[in-house]
Amino acid sequence: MTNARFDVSTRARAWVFVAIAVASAIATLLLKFLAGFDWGVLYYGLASMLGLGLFLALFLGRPTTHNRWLSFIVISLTGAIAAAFVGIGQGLPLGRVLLFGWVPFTLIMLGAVVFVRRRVAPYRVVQITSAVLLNAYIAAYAQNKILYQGFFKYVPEPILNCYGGPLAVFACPIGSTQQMVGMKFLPWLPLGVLIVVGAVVGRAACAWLCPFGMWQDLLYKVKVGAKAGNKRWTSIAVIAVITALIGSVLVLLLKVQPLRVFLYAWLPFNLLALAVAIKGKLELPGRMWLGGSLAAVGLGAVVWLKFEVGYAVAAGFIAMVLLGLTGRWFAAGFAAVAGFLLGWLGNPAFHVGPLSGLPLGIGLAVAALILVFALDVAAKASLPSNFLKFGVLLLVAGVASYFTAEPWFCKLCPQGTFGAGIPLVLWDPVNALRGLVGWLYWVKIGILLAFIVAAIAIKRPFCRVICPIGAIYSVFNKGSLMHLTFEESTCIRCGICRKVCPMDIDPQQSQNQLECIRCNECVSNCPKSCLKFKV
Amino acid sequence: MKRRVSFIILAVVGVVAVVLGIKAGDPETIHRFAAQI
Repeated sequence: MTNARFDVSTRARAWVFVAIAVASAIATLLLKFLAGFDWGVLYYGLASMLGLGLFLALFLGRPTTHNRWLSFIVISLTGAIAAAFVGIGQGLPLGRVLLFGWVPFTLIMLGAVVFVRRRVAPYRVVQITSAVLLNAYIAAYAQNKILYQGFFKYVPEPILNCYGGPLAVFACPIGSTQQMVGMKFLPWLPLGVLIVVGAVVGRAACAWLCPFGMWQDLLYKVKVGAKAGNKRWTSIAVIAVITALIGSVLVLLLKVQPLRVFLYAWLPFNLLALAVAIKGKLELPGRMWLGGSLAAVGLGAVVWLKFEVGYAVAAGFIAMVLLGLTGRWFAAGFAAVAGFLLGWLGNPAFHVGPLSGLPLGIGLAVAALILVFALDVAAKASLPSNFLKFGVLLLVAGVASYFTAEPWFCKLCPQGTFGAGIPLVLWDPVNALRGLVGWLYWVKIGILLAFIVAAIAIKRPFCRVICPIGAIYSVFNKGSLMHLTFEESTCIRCGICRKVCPMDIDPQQSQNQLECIRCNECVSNCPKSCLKFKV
Repeated sequence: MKRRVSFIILAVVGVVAVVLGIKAGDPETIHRFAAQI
């Protein structure tokens, strides 16, 4: 977009830099004096954040060639100086510091310089900064520590970010809640944090702070569908190459059979991505048949009776995800496939030979199909599909965790897989975690892959359909202090607000509905200033 | 006005929950899970 309205003034850009510099300095002092962090590691973080601030200040709103490359050189040099601090000052291996700290950070900035050619939304700037700060424990890589165990792990953050991740600094509120519910304690502190934040700003943390929301926003930018022209084939080719590289890492590090990686991960993922590339961007089904939802629960119950609770929760969760994302007819097919694969791959007999689990897989697939159709015929009532996240909150994070004393949402959470499951197993500094990989790990990977494809096609599918923290925050939207107002008389019905909304809602219809994440995009893009945030 | 009242009620409930949680030892319980694999 080249519209002059999107230009950010020099003063505003200077404020962005000052804000990031002050926030980094405060974070550095807190990490040093409250959490006992190492100065060398903190220099690295501080210098990187200052580089990021300068980069954004130069880049924001003025994507001219001069500023883009100048800012890239600045970030690269500050990163190199920071790496030298850690490497030389703290006696840490310089190669590792450069490889895991400086190289990825510089590459991300290089990507931004090369590919981002338009205005950067303010919430995106804060979102990226938040993702870095919430996952700032680079000491994990620099000092070969597996997990941060200091002061901040006592504190629940107000957003979804797995505390099992090697970079995570704070405790995830939904993980903490499940653990406490499993111990039959009331989770006062994590729920209190969510209530306070929700009361003030509603669901704003989902837009401004959530790293998983950021990844979904970025995935939705992948060009697919007929409108994208030939770019969609470039997208699918890049996805195929990246997934092939990831698959190669799995084969080399986890010693998984190449054929299995190809058949059960690479091929289905790329076929789904190809389908999305052909079909284009999609909308969530507005309604979800109640019968389908009951089928999801029923599928879980059937598997529970026959096998064990883990299979049951996984099967029910997968069916619920698919129902929410695709509607009942596709879900019936997907549920059958999920039941089949669970029965086939999850059966210990599978390890004897590739076809030994086949009868069980077929049985589960048939059971899933019968349940979906029978219950759909019996119950024609429907619910909005975004209500599913309340089901996930109550059944998976609540009931299943209470009765089994296990954090079942964490075990299936795609953010946890991305932030903790994959990096921990691939890195594994203690040489113990790779041996723990079992059937549930592959189910988690499958759920993550499904959400990656879904996020390319649909705006923020996880936040709208599944996220239990989003479910808790959403109920505060109606009564939060910060709220959206709409002046109907000046509205020209241009539809820009709907187009720019990362949650695909229409602010003209309802301003404080469950899904509004207060990102401010409709407000700042409205040509007639009909929409405003008020306190 | 209605919104202000609901905000005040929610904020009080939230702060009370946080205080009760801290008094009940929630930070230690959370740390036990959050700082281990």
